[in-house]
Amino acid sequence: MTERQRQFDSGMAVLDSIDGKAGTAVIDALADISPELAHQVVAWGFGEIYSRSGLTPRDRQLVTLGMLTALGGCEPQLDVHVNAALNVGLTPHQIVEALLHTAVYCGFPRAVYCGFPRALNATFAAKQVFADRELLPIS
Amino acid sequence: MTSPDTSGTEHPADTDDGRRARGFAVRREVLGDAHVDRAVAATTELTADFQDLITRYAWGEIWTRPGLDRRSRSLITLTALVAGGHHEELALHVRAARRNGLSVAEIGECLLQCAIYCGVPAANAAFAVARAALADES
Repeated sequence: MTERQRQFDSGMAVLDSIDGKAGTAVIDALADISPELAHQVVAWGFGEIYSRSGLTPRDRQLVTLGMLTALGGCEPQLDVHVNAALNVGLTPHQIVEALLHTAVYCGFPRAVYCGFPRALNATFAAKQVFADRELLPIS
Repeated sequence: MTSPDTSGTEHPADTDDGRRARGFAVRREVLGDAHVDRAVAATTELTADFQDLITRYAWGEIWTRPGLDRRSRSLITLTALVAGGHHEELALHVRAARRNGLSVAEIGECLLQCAIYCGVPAANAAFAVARAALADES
């Protein structure tokens, strides 16, 4: 087996265990446009980074939720990672709390209202995932 | 209209003064007395309302909520700051993350994960800030 294939297989195992169907769907959707990007995401994102043992899968999803919210415009990725956060044991309440916390830091150094639009977009992305998984209203 | 708060935990001192007092206490615990004393001493007429907003909102209202522990809040804060490129705040919160129970190795893992979402240059800059912040600490 080539190193490239080994890295891909290792990444797919991690992707399956965290993201489930949502992750695989992203990889499949890239097949006819940029299979190399699919390879990079799986091999490097999951085979190299998410597979590391230094943080728990739960902590890694908190890290990712914070970043995707702060970056803005990442609602499709939030859909995948809110699902992933639920898959690795974060509760809907904790996910909502994480997005609420993020609002402070997306905009605080500049102005308070830079923070709320991104937190709102992220929270509505989470709401869609919760709705799909019949988790609304959250307790 | 009644506030739709769903946190389920009414602070006994839920007045602006209560939030201010709670905020200062948490801010001191997380950022350290030396930093907060410097911030208070450096407050001017221009910055007074902003300093008060930070204390009441970020610290008194958000950081004191029960839904996530402080270690988790630090992880989220670090990544949001890296994503936003807020390096001065990042140095502050790298030191705060240590106080909140994250190890140096865990902070490194968090910044490493930033490389795949925010890009290698953002993570590179964040590692430089964190290295300097942790060197100051020791």
